[in-house]
Order: sequence, then C-alpha cells, then structure tokens
Amino acid sequence: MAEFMTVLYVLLTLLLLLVLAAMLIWYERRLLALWQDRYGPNRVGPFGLLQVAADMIKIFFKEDWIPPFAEKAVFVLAPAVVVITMLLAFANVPFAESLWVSDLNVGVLFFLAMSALAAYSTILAGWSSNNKYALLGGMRAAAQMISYDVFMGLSLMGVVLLSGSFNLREIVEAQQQGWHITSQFVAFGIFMVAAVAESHRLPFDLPEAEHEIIAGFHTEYSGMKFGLFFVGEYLSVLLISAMSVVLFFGGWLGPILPPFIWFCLKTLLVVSFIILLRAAIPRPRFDQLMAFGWKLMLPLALINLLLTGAVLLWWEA
Amino acid sequence: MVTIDVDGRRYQVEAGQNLLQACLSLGLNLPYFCWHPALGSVGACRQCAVTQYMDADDNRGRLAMACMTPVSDGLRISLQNDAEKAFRSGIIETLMSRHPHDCPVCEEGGDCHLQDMTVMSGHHRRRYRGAKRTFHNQQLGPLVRHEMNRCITCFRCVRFYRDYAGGHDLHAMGSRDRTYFGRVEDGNLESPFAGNLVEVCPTGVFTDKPHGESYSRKWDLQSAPAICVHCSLGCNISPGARYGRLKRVQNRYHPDINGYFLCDRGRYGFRFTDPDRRLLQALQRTEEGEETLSTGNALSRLWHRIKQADQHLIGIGSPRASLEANFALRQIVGAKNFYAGVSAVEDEMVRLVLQLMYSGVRSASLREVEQADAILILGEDLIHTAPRMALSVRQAVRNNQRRQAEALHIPLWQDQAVRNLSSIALSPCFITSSYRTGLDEVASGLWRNSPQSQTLVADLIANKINEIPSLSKTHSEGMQTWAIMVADALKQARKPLIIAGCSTQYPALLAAAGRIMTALKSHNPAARSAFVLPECNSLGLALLTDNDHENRLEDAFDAAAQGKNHLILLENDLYQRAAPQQVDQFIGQLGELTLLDYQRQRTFSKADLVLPVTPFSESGGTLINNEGRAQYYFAAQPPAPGTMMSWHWLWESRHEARPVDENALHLLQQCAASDPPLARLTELLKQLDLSTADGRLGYMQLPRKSQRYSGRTAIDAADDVREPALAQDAQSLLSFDMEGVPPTQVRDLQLSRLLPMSWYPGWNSGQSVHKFMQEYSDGRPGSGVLMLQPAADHESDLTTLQPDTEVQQTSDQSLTLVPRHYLFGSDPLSMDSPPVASLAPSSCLMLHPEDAQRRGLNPHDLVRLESSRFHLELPIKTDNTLAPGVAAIPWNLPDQPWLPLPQQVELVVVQRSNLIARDGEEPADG
Amino acid sequence: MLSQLRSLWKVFQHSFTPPDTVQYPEQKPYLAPRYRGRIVLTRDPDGEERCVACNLCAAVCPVDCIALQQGLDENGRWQAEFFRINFSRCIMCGLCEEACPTYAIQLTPDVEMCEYDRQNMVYEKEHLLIAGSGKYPDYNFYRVAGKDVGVKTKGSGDNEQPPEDYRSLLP
Repeated sequence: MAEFMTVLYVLLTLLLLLVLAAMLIWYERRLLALWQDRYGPNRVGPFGLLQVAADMIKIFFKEDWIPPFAEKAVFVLAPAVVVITMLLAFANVPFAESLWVSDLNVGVLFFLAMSALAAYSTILAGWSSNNKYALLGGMRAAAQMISYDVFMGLSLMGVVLLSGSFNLREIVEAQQQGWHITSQFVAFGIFMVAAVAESHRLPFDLPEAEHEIIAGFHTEYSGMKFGLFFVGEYLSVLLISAMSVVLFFGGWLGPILPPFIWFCLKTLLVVSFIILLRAAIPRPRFDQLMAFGWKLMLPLALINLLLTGAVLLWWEA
Repeated sequence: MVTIDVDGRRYQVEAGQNLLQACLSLGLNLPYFCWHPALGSVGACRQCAVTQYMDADDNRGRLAMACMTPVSDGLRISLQNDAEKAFRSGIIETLMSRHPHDCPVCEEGGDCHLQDMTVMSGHHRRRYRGAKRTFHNQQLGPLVRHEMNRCITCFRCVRFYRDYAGGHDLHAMGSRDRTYFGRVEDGNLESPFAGNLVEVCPTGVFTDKPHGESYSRKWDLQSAPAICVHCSLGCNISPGARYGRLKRVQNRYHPDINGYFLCDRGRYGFRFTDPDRRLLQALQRTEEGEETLSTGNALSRLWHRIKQADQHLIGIGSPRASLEANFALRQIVGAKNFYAGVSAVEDEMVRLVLQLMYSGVRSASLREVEQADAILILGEDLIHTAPRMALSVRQAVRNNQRRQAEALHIPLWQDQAVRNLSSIALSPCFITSSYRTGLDEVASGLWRNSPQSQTLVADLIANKINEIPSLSKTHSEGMQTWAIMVADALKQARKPLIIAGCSTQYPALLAAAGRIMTALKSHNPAARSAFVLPECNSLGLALLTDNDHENRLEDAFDAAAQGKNHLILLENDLYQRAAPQQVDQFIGQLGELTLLDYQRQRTFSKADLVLPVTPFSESGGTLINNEGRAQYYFAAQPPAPGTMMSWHWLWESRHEARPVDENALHLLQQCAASDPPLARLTELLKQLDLSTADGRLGYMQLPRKSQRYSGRTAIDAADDVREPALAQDAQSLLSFDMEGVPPTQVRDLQLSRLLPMSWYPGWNSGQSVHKFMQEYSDGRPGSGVLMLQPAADHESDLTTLQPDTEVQQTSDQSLTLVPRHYLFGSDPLSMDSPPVASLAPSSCLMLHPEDAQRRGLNPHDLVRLESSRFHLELPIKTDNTLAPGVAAIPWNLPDQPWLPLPQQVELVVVQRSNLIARDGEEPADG
Repeated sequence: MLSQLRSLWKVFQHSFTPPDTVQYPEQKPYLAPRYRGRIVLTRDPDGEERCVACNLCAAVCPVDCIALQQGLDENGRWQAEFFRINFSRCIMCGLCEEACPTYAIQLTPDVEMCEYDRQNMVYEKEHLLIAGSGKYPDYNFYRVAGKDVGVKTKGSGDNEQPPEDYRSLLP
C-alpha cells in the first residue's frame, strides 16, 4: 500500500511539475508583459491561460525534423537529458514537512549532481547538431556551467555548515530559529547568480544568445524536441526557486497558512524575481561572464565559507 | 603614351586623343553631351569643363573644354575643384531650365544621358521660374518618335544622321533658342540608320517608337549578349526582354564589327520572336485533321519517326539556324543524308566565297573596311544587303580627308575641322550595279549595267591590274577607260578593298571578283576582300556541308525521287529556296515531313509533324558571319513553354544513353572534333567555358537581369501567387538572375564584350559603354573566333575561276530581270515584324522609264513576265535609277515565289492601268 | 552593480503602470489619413487614371511586389495595361507612394485585408483603382508635363510658352 502511495505520489508530482512548468511559461509571458506595459497572452481561454495548451498542440503537430547532417541518436537523446535530470532533482525537494518523494541524506549533493548533469544536454545537443552555431552554443554552455558549478557548490557549504546536514528536510528544520538568508545573504546572492547561469536563463543565456549565434545549441531543433528544451528550462527555473526557498527561506515554515501553501508562495516569489531579472538586466559578454564567475564570485564564495566556518568555530568554542 | 596629372594623381594615357576621352577611358567621371566617340568633338555643349594649369606652380588655372583639349605630356588639370564644378552645374542648370517635366512619361527615362549628367553635375533644384519653350512634334515614321520639347541642342542627331550616316532629310532649323531638329515636313526618316538616333540623342527627343507602344524601363529588361540574325555581318546586339517577349534591341559595342551603330532592320526586325507570331505548340497533321501534342508526345513521335525511317531519312539544314542546330540534324540523319537548305545558285556562290576566303585574300572586318582607302563594290547594294557595311564604307571614303588632316596636324577627333577639308576629294570608291545603290552619292565611279556587263568590266579590271588574261577580247571603249581608272586607283591605294557578294544571284560576277582579288593580292598584300552573304549563318552551313557528299538542295530532291522520303526540315522555308512546282513535287514524294521552326512560313502548312523551336531570343548558339568569325549568342530569356531549341529537340529524341550534362557546348565540342574546317571552334569553346572562368568569376555568373529588376514577386502572381523557381542556365556564363558578377567588375574580368546590357553606377544610359571600353587581344569571351585561316594547301590560283559570262541570246524586246534587295522586305524574318513590314515595298516590276516607253507601258499596268523558266504577273513601276535594259523585282518578299534570277524575260501586257499617270510623276503607291 | 539593481527597481515599478496595448479587434486604434495601409490608384480631376505606368513604384519597391506594363491610348497617353500588386508580399512601406510622380499611388488607412487564400491578395488595376483623386485633389500631371496627350495642346500647359515657329529666323 505504501509503495502504491509512493508511486501515486511520484506520478502526481510529475504531473504537477509538468503542468506547473507549462503554466510558468504563461506566467512569465504575462509578467514580462506587465513590466513592459503590455498585456501578454490574453486571448486563449480565461486570462489567456490556454495559450500554453494551444502552443503545446502546435508544437506537437510540427514536423519533427532531424537534420540529415546531425548525429541522429545523440541529437534525439540530448533534449531528454535536461528534462530527466531536472525531474530527478525534484525527487528530494521537501515541499512540506512530510511531502517528498525521497528523503536523501545527501540531498544538496544530489541537487548539485543533477544540475551538473544537465550540462550534458546542451553540450550534446550543440555537438550532435553538426552546425557551427550550435557547436558554439554547446561550447559556451560547457564553459559556463563548469565555471558556475564550482562556486554554486561552495556557496551552499555555508548553509550546510549552519544546518549541520546535507539533508534538505533537516536544513529546513534547522531554520526554525531564523532563515539562513539572514546569515548567509552573500551565499544566497552567489547561489542565485550561479543557479540562473546554470539554467542559462537571461541575463546568462549566452549558450543560446540569438543576437550572436542564432539560437545556440538548439538552432537545429524544432517541434517537440525543442519543446523539451523549453520545458527543461522552466523546470530548472522551478527547481532553483524551490531550492533557494528550501535552503535560504525556511522552506515550508511559516505561520497560519498550511506549510505547502507557504512553500508555494515563497517559490512563486523567487520565480517572479528570476523573471524580473530577465526583464531588467541585459546579457553580458562571454568574457565578462567568465571574469565575473572566476574573479568575483569564486573568491566571494570562498571568503563566505571561511567566515561562516570561523564564526561557527568561535560560536561553538 | 603621355603622362597627365588629374587632381594631383598621375596617369599614363594614349597620346593623340582628347582630354575628355582620356578621362573617360581612365574611368573618371566627367559630364559631356556633344561628344561621341564615333562622331568626335565639336565643343558645343560646354559641359566637360576642366581647369587646366600652366605648370606645377600655377594655382589659378583656366577653364578649358576637355573634349577640345589634346592630351600632352605633363598636362595638369583638375576635375573636382569648385571653379569647374560650379561652371558645369551652371551649364546643366541652363540646359535644364526649359526641359519639360516629362521623365515619367519619357521612353528615355532611366536610360537617359541627360538624367545621368544632371545628377553627376549636382544640379537638383530648378531656380528658373519663367515659362518653358515648346515645339510641335513631327511624325517621323513607324520607327522613331519625336518629342522636340526635350531637346538640349547638342547637335549629335544631325551630326550622326547627316555627317556620319549620310542622311539628307534631318536638319537643324530655326535660330537662337528655337533651334529645331527635324524634317522639313512630316514623313518617314529615310536613312536606314535612323534608329541609331535613339541611342545617339542624349535625351528623349528621338525615342524607339515600337518599344514606346509597350514600354519597359531599361532596368526591367532581361538582356543577353546576342548576335543579329537579319544579315550576314553578325552585328552584336543586346536584346531586352520582359513578360516573355522581346521589347527592344540595342547596339552592343564590338570594336571589329558594328562599333556603336546598328541598321534599322537589325534594331526593329526582332518582333518575329513575339509569342503571338510564333509556333508554340507541337502539331501533328493526319487525314483526320490537326492534333496538338505535348512535348513528351512530340518527342516520342519524333523518335519513332527517326527510328522507323532509318535508311530513308534525310535532313535539310538552314542558313538561319545555328551551327549547333545544323550539326545536331546532321548527326541524326548522317552526313550523307544532310542537305544544305539553300537554293542551288546561292549554294554555288557561298562555296565560291569559301574558296576565295581560303585562298588567301584576307577577309576584312568592318573596322578594316573603315580603314580602306580605295574600294570597289561589285554588284552589291550594300545599304540593303549589308547595311552596317555601307556605313563603314561611308567612313572609309573620308580617309583621304583624314590623311590630309593628319598632314596638317589636325587631330582626327576635331570633327568640324576635319570636315572643313571638304574640298579634298573623297577616297576612291567604285560601284558596279544594275540600279542606283545607296552609296552611289559617295562613289567616284559607277558602272550601272546588267550583271553580265558588270562581270566583263570586273574581269577587265583584273586584267588591267595584273595582266590576267581577259575572257573577252572585245570591250567597248567606255569599259576600257573605266576599268583602267579603277585598276589604277586600286593599285595606288595602300589598303584597297574589294566588296562582292551573293545578292546578284550571279556566280560569274563573284568569280570575276575573285580574279580581281587574286590579281590585287600579288600586287599589295594589304589588300582585303569583304563578302556579303545571304544569311546570318550561310557560312556556317556551308562549312558543315563542305564535304565530299552531294548535298545541295537539288540532291535532296533527287534523293526523294529515289525513295528517301522521310524529311526533317530545320528552320527553313523550302518555297524560299526553289521554284514552287519543284518544291510541291518534292513534298509530294515525301512520306513524312517533320518541320522544326518558329515561323508560320509557307512550308509549315505542308508539314505533318511540327515541332516548335526557339528563335534567337530564346536560344544559345553559334553563327559564323561574313568575315568567317564564329560568334556565340546567348538567349535573352528561357524558352517559351512548349518550345525547345532545335538541337535540343533532336538530341532529346535520340533516347539513347547520353551523358547527363550534355549541353550546347558539348555539341560544339563534337562539331569541332568532327569537321576539320570547324576545328577552331575549340577556341570559341575556351571563351565560353564556365569551368575555366569559374575562379576569376568567383563562382558567379553574369546576371541577365539588372540589379534593379522590378516586380519579381508580382509578375507571375496573376496565375499563381506562389513564385516559380528561377530558370537555370547552369553551364553558361550567364544566369537568368539578378545576382552575380557586378558590372563594376566586368572590366577587370575582361568580360566587357559579354555584358548583357551596358550599365555602370552613375551611368544608366548606353553612354556607360565607356566604362567597358578596353582593348584586348582576341580570345576574351565575346570577341568571337575567326574560323577561316587561309591555308597553304588551299592557296589555289583563283585566275582559274572562269566567270561564266555567256550572254544569253536576247531578242530586242527582252530585258534582264535582276533581283533588287530591300532593307525592309528581303529578309523574311524581319518581315514578320510589323514596323519593318510597314516599310516594305509591294511586289512589282521595276522598269526604266525609257524601256517602259519603248514598249508603250505605263506605271501600274499589269504585265506578265515570260521567260524560259517561269511566268509571273506583276504591276509595273517605272524607276529611272535602273540601268536601261534591266528590270528589277523586289527580292524575297514573303508572298512572292522564288525565281531563278537573273533571267531574260519578255513582257506581255495583261491589263492596262486606269490610273493616268501625268508626265514625270507617279501616282502615289497604293 | 548598482545600476543593475536600479534597473531591477525601475522595471519593477512598471508593475503599476497601465499597459499601452490597444485591444485591436474590439478597440480600433486611430489611423491618421496618411497612414500607410492598403494601396489605391487614384484618378486626376478629369476622372482619368493618374497612373502613367512610369514604373518608378515597381523600381523602388523593396520586395518587388509591383508589376505593370505600359501601354498607349489613342492620344498617346501613357497608361498601365495591367497593374498588379501582390499584397501577400507588400510590406506597406509607402516607398511607392513617395516615388510616384503623379500622385497616382496613395496609401490609405485601411489595413484590414486578411484572406484565407493567398491568391486573393493579388490585386489588379481594377481592384486598386478608386473613383476620386485622394489626397491631392487638384493635381493633374499632364497639365505640368510637356507632352501633348489630349489633356492640353502644346504650349497651353502650366508655365508654358506657345509653340515656337522654327521656320522663323528672326533674332
């Protein structure tokens, strides 16, 4: 029975996530429109909510074209990788006190591993397309993700130190006295930057910078394979929002309202902030991106870790 | 070479030219109006002002007209200083002050030298507020439209029409700002070169009338480097097409042939290519009636026929079809079953010409004709048989003046000064003919008599030059003195030239011409000959049939009688080649007659399988002109739906395994390989080979469309809004596209001769040809290849040519009937072109008034011509320009049967005219 | 860094500004009379076609969607034998209107010209021609041009002298 419940729960989570990712598309478009003094999609269904459904129908009926010059197997596989890794990463996100798929005691590491794996998706897509722009996009993605992965992990170590655990549920529970954002503000900033870069969203969408390299790694993709990249991107937005809520904003913790609602509200706020980043901040040059990562973010993360460790030692002493 | 300094830069230029020409040939932009490279300078328009400095220290200088300033070593000028720029823009502002607001409805717009120069001089706003001057226009005939308001009084029209082309009926009239260029009263312009006014006039006073009736701007035309098909000279033309039909033909500069000018037959004769005048559908005729065929069906029937006929197949070629088409037919039917599609006498004469050309008297290009200083024209009325050559002869007779001018150190481009030497006699030019020719007025001696008499005098001239034994012992005294005069002039000349041809239909005269050439050649190696052939590819066909087989048209008739009864007839009208009875009999013996043609000519109604082919405007191919120059012409537009090039039909029908990339050039290659006389076609192939040109062209082709070609997405939208794919011309140097080698690179690539249409940034009009002026050795694309190299083994003694001067027994009453050629009329192709047909004569018999009087005949009487070989009824027209004893008949009119001429005929009155002719006056021609 | 934050804030402030969007089919925007919409061919004050088939519109068209052929009427007046605009290609740039020397081509504020069949976007002269003279009610090109095509005789147009007698030699 418990196993049946687990399977049901997994399926529900899966469904919810995919629907949410899809709704996020609508949400982002409406929000961007709001900040750009437009309406955004408002024609299909109430408030344009069915726009996503219309887009889905369209994208499903598009010709599923594989370029004759592409490396076929890899080309087909690449978009699936990003979706799978993102969904797997969600497995250990605690939505509420007792609402999770699996309670891993290496939760933070699992999250880092999964988001690092997602890099393969873009690299393989770029390479297998056999197109110079796609390859450029793939190379950019590889460099960017490897660089930013390093201090994303480092920035989270402060949180781990404070909570004394890699388990995400325990990290949330450790925030009963106060959210980590208060003590780990710098770490939060670094994490946000790195996480946005990992999901290669604006302003860090250099792997697909359409002004420079057409559409980067997914230049040759169309139809549902392109749709998978799209869904993967929004899943990763959801994931990093949920993770930042878990790690820095006390997860489901909050008064009056049920824990799950708290979690959702917090996540929605972070998601909105990520969309605001897209609406307001322009894309840097690639060399600026690299310099920013290695020369500013990495030292900052190390200093943060050092200070956190020192304070903790001093505190305990 | 001298060095000049222009705006601080030093250039090397050819000495002896004027500064304007030097600047233009350097690629510098200097506006001008009255100057023309062929007409020289008169310094009238004051537009080409430059500042000329005394020396390196002079910083003020003085204004000078570039066209009147000879280049000299160390000359220092500026083109771009304020002084001369202000002067030039002032001049153009004055010229433009009364120019009408006509550009949108002017046929010159976009092709207008005045527009270009106005933009170049920087004048853009009219300050003049006064009223504009106006003029009434004149009706100048069906070819040229007159719109006098637009005139800027540059005088180029009269300088070309009168001074260069020798016309009499265009004048500069009036005074001051009323100067008017026109005829005394309305009427057709008489000069056969009137159409050049369209290109000579820098603005829209004289425009192309037929084009103006369904006009397209220059930038909208799809053009190609083509060759004129209306006579044997092979003038280079640039036909422009739009909406599937040719719109106009303009001159395309070729230094050795037509230079800057064309004749009106070439310019206006192209309308036979109009889709509504042409065969566009394959047809099969059976007892049940006519049946139209699809291309595929037609091909399979043709293939079926060729296969079935097997040993009974014969093919008749055509002197107006390309070398490729004739060769393809010859390959299909076999060399011994391939017959020349020309009349027996023409065949004999062209072969004679071939023999003469091989024998070592170099055949002259038109440029060389212009350099001749003594000319003898035997029996040719050049104005009507090879008009562009007549224009060259007109220039040649001024060589005496030029020589004098050189002695006086007058530069030759000083046009007015050279022409002021009019007291100097013209260079000698002698003409023998049966009637007045267009060049008689510049001739220093005429021999106007029957062809037999002309032959005798020619023979005597040969005798006087080099003691070649004369054929006849008895010559009249007049003939003796005339022959001595001509012989002396030819002997004294540095560059004598003999012009002969086929238009007399009298081989003996040609043979006599050959005797003169032989005599002269040993006397002066610089002597040249020029031959006038009947059609554009007469020589090409002759070279293809120049073998051991019996392949005259008569032999084809015999073959049919012996049972070879499956004929493939190529672009030819048999009724134009032999007597109607003979042709009827021949066709009666045939089982099957397959015709490949585009014209609805007389044989068309007898053919049982008709395959529509493309005329010159839609095909590529090679023609060999009168000089022996093989020139390739390109299609201006892709074949009309349902039609194919002749060789394409024939080749496709073979259904054998053939290389995929088979194209016209492969055909030419095979042709060069199979016929030793045509071996030099490989040189032509080198010029045309895209693969060798690829690297230079940057893997591009020359575009046939201009860069501003409009309406691509709307032209075919009425039929289908989806745009069709562009027609491909994969193996060719040219594409049916707008993209490719830009005109600015054409000169560097030495492809000027292949430019489909003359255009250069800032120079929209035909005057842009300066930008492409370059002298380069032969062998560059578009210059053509001389096929006939006089060969040692061909060095036959032409004195053995025995002119057959056997004078037929004539009664007192009989007349010698000769063919009279007409520029508008004697070419069946151009007679399908309405502007040309409207100027053609009607069928009649021309008689000298004395001959008419002696027989008691009046104009318009209907008479029957009786000879041993034909009878024909015709109305009479008296003409005192004929030699007495000679009657003439317009040659080769479309409705007239072929006649064996010259011929002794007698006249029988059939019907008296009820029109009473007054003395010396003829009733207007009905 | 500060400027980035500032722009974040500035953009966020737009949450509270109303949208500029006009809800098109329900709410019609104001289109000025000189708006560049559907192209028409106008007539001169005498009711004749203004178009003289000069081809300038076709030449200037950046998408080459105008094709026409000139023809002559019995007075020698230039007219379009056919005049075709492929509106499925037209980008309403208005260059043809600017190029037109006779004010024949004018762009109207009508922009609602959708079709289900692309073929219906091909307009011929009879579809384009309107009865009036549009924005320039008094202009008649042939009164200003030098050519005589039956609108005025030689020399009687605006700003013209009577025809000269070239037979006169008077100074």
